[in-house]
Amino acid sequence: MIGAPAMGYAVQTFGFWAAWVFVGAVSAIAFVGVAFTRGEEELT
Amino acid sequence: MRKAVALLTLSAVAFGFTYSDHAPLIPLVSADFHLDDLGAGLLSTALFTSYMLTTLITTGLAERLGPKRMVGAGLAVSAVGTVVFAASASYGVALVAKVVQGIGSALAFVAAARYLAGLYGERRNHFALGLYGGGFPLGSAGALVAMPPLAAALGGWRGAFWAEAAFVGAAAILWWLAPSVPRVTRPGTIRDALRCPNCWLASLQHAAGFGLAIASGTWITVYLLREFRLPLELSGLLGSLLLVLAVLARPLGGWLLASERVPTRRVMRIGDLVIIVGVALLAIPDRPLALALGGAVLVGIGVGLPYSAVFNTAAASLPAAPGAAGQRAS
Repeated sequence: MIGAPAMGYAVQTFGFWAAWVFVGAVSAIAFVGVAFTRGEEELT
Repeated sequence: MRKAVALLTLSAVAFGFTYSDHAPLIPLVSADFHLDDLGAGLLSTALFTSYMLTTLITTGLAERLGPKRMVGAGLAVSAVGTVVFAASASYGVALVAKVVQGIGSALAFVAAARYLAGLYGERRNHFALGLYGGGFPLGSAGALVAMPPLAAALGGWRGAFWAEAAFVGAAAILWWLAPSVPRVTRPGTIRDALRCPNCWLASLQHAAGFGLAIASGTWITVYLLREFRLPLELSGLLGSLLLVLAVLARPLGGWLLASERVPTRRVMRIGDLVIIVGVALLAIPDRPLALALGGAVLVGIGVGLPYSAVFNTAAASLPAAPGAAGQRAS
């Protein structure tokens, strides 16, 4: 929902490298989030 | 039963097509409407904002109206949205068209899951659900490949959208050949899912999976076009690699979990790390084309791998309302 325009803004302001950094940042946040997530095996 | 699953998967391909139809044509659409890159990206936002709001409002409609009718209505509405985009005279109308496409997709998404539940009854429907889920990135990949040559053959981007409208409309007509199924009552509501912290964390993983697949898929064609000066058709074809790999990685992630070789959270971590490595390759200044394509492949694998882990975790997080949890994660 916000990823495509955020990447578009990054491209027009800084270049494509910034758009890919945005994608990597979301993945990094998700990676950290796994530490706080209870996996399926822990729930069943 | 096979016909029903095939038609449902075709509907997912049609909806997935609408998610990325404009992406490979951004240079052409932007030139006509005088858009910058932010404006082009907001076309996706229009679709997914209306999708989310419609899902929240209409989550119980499938039980009242029947899932088959809802999926058919969703396809019809998406076809109308595509027609509006093809005929749009301004950027504002194009945004409205994406809103309509999002409404159509949202009407059908939850209903399709209820349709499969009714079709399979007590039997396991995981494989059918996987086929249906794989239809979305497959359709988006198809849009990246098909829209540039369609635009070249049909006199511009509007011609490509008219062809797409015919495809989505045909999927809507074919859908009525699908058998009706008994209505299955949901064991919970969307409110149960909103109160579940682990569901929010599963949503974060889904944002890094499906969300980044759509965002990256929107820009990969333009990236290849501008950074490597490739023709638009070739850029779309190579860019579709990202989404094709996402389609293939989804069942791979499911197989890793089903075979109990890798635990759920590790699959999520692997997916996130593979994306980070992939975007690092894409972001390196003056990287050769082969390295950039390798990065796109890794991003595709990374966004697809955690799909089963996310949905199974969301369902297990809220055993009283697995449908609602999965819906929230979507």
